[in-house]
Amino acid sequence: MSVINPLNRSMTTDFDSRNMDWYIDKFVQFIVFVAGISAIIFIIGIFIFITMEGFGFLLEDFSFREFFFSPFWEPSDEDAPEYGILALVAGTASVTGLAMIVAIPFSLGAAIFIGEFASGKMREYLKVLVELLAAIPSVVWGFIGLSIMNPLIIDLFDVPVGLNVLNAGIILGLMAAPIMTSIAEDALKAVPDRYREAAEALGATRWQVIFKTVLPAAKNGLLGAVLLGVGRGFGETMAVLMATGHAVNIPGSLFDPVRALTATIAAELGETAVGSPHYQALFTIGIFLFIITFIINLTADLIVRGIRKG
Amino acid sequence: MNATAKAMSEPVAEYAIRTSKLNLWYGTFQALFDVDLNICNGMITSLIGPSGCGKSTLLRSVNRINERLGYVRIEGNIDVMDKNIYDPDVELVQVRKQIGMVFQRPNPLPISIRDNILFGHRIHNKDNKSSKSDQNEIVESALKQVLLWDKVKDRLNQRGTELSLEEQQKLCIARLLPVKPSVLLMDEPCSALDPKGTAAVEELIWELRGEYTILIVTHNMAQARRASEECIFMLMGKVVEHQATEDLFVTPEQKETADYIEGRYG
Repeated sequence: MSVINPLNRSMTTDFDSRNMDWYIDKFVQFIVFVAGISAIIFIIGIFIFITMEGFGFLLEDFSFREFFFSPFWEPSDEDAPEYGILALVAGTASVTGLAMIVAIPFSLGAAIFIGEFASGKMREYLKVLVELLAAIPSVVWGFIGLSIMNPLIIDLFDVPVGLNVLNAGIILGLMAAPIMTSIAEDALKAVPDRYREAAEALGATRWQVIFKTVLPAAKNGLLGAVLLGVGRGFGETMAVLMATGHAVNIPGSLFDPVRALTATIAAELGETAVGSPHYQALFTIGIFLFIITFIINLTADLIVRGIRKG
Repeated sequence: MNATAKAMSEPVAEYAIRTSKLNLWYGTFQALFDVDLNICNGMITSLIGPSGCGKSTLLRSVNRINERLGYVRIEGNIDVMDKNIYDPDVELVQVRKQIGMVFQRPNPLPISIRDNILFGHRIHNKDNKSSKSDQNEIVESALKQVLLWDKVKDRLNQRGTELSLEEQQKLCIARLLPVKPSVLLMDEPCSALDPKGTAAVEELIWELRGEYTILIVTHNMAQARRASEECIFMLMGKVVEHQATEDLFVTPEQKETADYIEGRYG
């Protein structure tokens, strides 16, 4: 082995020479920085875009009272168009509410099984499957609502139409359950094992350990999981468009068809003239949805983060 | 096994815990070899030995908390109060009611101090719910017994996890008492505490002797010497020597014991 003696080299060092590596390094740093803050840029950009598009409506035709409290969404009425989103909000809320009633027991049960009972291979398989379930495209769920749930509901409950709150609620609940399971399982896993050990050593049964110790300790994370599910429900479009029946209506029962905020935008935006009051009203709904989902997701995120920190 | 311990294994009633031919495996690794022990009723017995000698394993198999791991296999008997706790008809909940455990790292539950004390009590008294005043009395007497009452009586609704480590460990001992166990197992109960906390908890353990049979694992030989009446030295999964603490430290019979207590290894 030869010994390299640095002293044999020239003693004069050019400290401010910049070679190619220096430029590449700076360039990569810049690219990574831009990629890093792109999420912020996009979210601000999107907000500015939808606000600008909806702004004309907010300034001219917008009436707070009509927009939020009128149940009539009749934008294509030639003489006196009405832009009331109350029925749409009721539609979204009823479907999301039912979805949570379906999803919470499912996802909580699944999370408890995966996190506390399943072990080894079983647990790994289940986690992969739950993630696969979360990746099913929403149009597929909508298709299931349309072609399977619809006739099933008509048969079972003897109602004329099967596209209604019940259908969309169940579909949306099943859609939201996997992501909720995943977050809830994380929350259970974050509970230190010494709590379980302590409770077990005091003579608690498996069920008592879970119910009296693990769940209370994980309650923030579980709440975050539910909120994320609610956010998902508010924002979901395709499945609810296909399964709700898409009729502007304040639902009186599970079997009433409704229309969701998101579905309204999806269905009508293509048919409106750019810049018309109707077009702008749809963007105003977009702003409203944006703000609601932003608040829900932010709250969920803060709660989940809170539990991570302990 | 030395002569003293053999002689002591003849009579029956005065022993709280008796193990015979106890062998234990973690998977394929054997951690305990033919452990035969008789732990005197109402006394403090300490288990000493170098890391990995099986003392914690032995302790943790006495209330079967080892079984949480799932890959533990046991042969032989552990009789607690003359009942083999590994009998198939034994109810795990009853075993743990009878045998309380204090862990190395204080592990109060993330609920209020009051609920921590009442946790075990509530589990084991599901059928006859005690009144609020009874509960207050239970909380007070348990906390008084561990010398914590004066410090926390005004903040019983504070979370147990917010106390100092020493107070947490005392709370962990206190919450065992309302369940009325006969045996207390302690797995290095002072190793997470500072010297002052250690002294306080040791004093507490000393106070509890007589009323409970206490089996305590410790790394700290000085602690074993101060705070126990009998002492067991273990090495490589086997019991080497079991004597009165004083004798074990002054006149150990086995060479390994002598080497260990003189600090030649461990």
